[in-house]
Amino acid sequence: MRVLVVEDEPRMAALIRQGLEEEAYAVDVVGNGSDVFYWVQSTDYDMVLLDIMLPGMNGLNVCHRLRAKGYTMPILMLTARDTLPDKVKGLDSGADDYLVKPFAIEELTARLRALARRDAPVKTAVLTVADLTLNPATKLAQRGNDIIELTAKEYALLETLMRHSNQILNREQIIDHVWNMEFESGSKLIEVYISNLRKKIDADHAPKLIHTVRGLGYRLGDYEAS
Amino acid sequence: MEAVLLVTFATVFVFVLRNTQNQQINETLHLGASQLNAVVDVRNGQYTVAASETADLRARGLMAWILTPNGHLALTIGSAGDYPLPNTIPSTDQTLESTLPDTTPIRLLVVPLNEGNNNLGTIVLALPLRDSQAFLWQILLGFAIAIPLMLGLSAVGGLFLAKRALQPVAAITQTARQISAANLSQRIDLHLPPDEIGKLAHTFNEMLARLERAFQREQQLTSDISHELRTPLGMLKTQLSLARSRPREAAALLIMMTDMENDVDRMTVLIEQMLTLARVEQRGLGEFVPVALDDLLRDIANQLQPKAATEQVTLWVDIPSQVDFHLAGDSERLRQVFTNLIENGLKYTLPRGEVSIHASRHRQTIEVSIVDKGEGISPEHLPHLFERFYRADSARSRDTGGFGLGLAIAHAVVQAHDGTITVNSEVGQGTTFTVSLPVS
Repeated sequence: MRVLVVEDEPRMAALIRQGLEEEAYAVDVVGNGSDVFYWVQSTDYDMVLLDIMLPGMNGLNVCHRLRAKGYTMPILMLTARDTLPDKVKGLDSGADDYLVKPFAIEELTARLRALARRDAPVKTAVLTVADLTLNPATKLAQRGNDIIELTAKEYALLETLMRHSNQILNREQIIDHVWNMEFESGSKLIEVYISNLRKKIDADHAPKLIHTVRGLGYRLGDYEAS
Repeated sequence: MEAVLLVTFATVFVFVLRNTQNQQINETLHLGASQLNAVVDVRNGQYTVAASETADLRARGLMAWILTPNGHLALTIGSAGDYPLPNTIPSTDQTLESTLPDTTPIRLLVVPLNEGNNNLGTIVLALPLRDSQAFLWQILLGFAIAIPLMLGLSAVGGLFLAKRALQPVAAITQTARQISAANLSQRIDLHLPPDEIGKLAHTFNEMLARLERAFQREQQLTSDISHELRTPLGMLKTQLSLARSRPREAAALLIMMTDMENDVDRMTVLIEQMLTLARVEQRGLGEFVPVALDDLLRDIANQLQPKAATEQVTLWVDIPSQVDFHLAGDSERLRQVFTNLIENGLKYTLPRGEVSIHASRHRQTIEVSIVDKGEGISPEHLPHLFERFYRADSARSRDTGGFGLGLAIAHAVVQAHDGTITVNSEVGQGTTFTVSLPVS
């Protein structure tokens, strides 16, 4: 899951980044409202975390303009103001949810999980493909009766593949959802992580779920490409 | 009031009218008497008057009984012939009100009938008063109708005028009633003549404007304080939850705890500064004691030398010796103010720059200048520099831990000493803060 955090307080942004990265999100941080548009243009973010009090353009305007430009990713508003009119304004400007500062990091991640579900065709907390399940809250995967432990990046990669199950994802799409801007696009990291995932998920089980589609990318699913 | 005036006027009017009427009646009587004296012809005990004269007298409404010297009725003139001589008649040359047998009111005048020095009898003249009395009654009746009518009209008109004159007052009252702390932006519609009420409304509006500004300042202050407290509180909460969200190594926890401690320190400083400001502004200062300002400044400079060395800034003191720099003041607060000003100078001066402290004694005041050769402050910030929570450079002063309260405290403390604090600055040249304090 790739999240854009729009927060002007550098320490707060650093805390959110740490909290989200520990939950296997790929995080980019922007310090002011007007830069948001450049970032969302170049990357397919899964979510935007938007502080209302921002220098330049305030969060409500940013949200409004994102929606006006046709961006549909979930937006979570973040602000110190907790008065009712502000909440209504936030939601009316196109935000999907609202979190009042101060907040605990667990509440933030729980809300992001809920927002991710909102867009999914099946609104269960646990992702399922064939006999493979993945729980975003615990970051644990299960194949048949085997509990599989994953590293943060492995989890992020598997989550992305499962959310787009039976679709082909190319390298760029995978990078967009799993790594942040610091990722070097020439690196062979994706191949390394795919091979790690195969060992954990497919090695002892049939059918194989992770498929390489030559020249196009990767697909996770329970049927063989014809 | 009006009623009293009108009745008095009517009374006087009727009184004067009656007097005038009286005089006219008397004149008519006397004129008739003189005329009769001239025209009564007495020959051989026969009294006659020419018919033309009789007609003339009768035309003026007069009637007369002419008596012989021994009191016998000799002749009547006009309608006197229809009546007997009245029973009571006034003495000679006197008038008397009386009535005829048919109740007609009359006035009588008695004069002797003389021809040369011979008395030929008496003339009893009478003038009926019916017409003049009727006229008087009409006037009285007129007043009786007109006065209540006028009173009524003036009451209605007065009410109308008063309403019109007081309408702006009602508007002011209405506005005043609507105003509360929540909507101080209300104003009275000022389409009023520049009279007393117009001035009142204008003054009222000015007062509202002042109140509104004061309330806005207070609201701004409250929201500034809550923002300043919420930011570190929010970070504390998030960081605490992050710290316990998963097992962590001691070293990682130590770093997080240090950060959290900084947040707590920041809030402590903010609250202490707010308290200082509130105490100085509301309760003034502590006890004034003799303060040797030169010693105080040298001491502060000594204390800040290590800090200046760290920042690689030269801090030097230029205060003449053998000059009396004593004044009465709150020593602790003054130390706080000058420490803050000098620290600011150090903070905004680049390495290898300098900050200097100057003091000079004038007749009634001591002037202290803190001069830095730092980057200076742009002109748009200068007017607001002493406002609470004003930060000329928000991004950087946040890093350096300032809340924008130091100069507000300095301003409050100096003002509580009846002194002044001013700032001069030029971008690229540096900044000078000048504090002027009265000696006593």
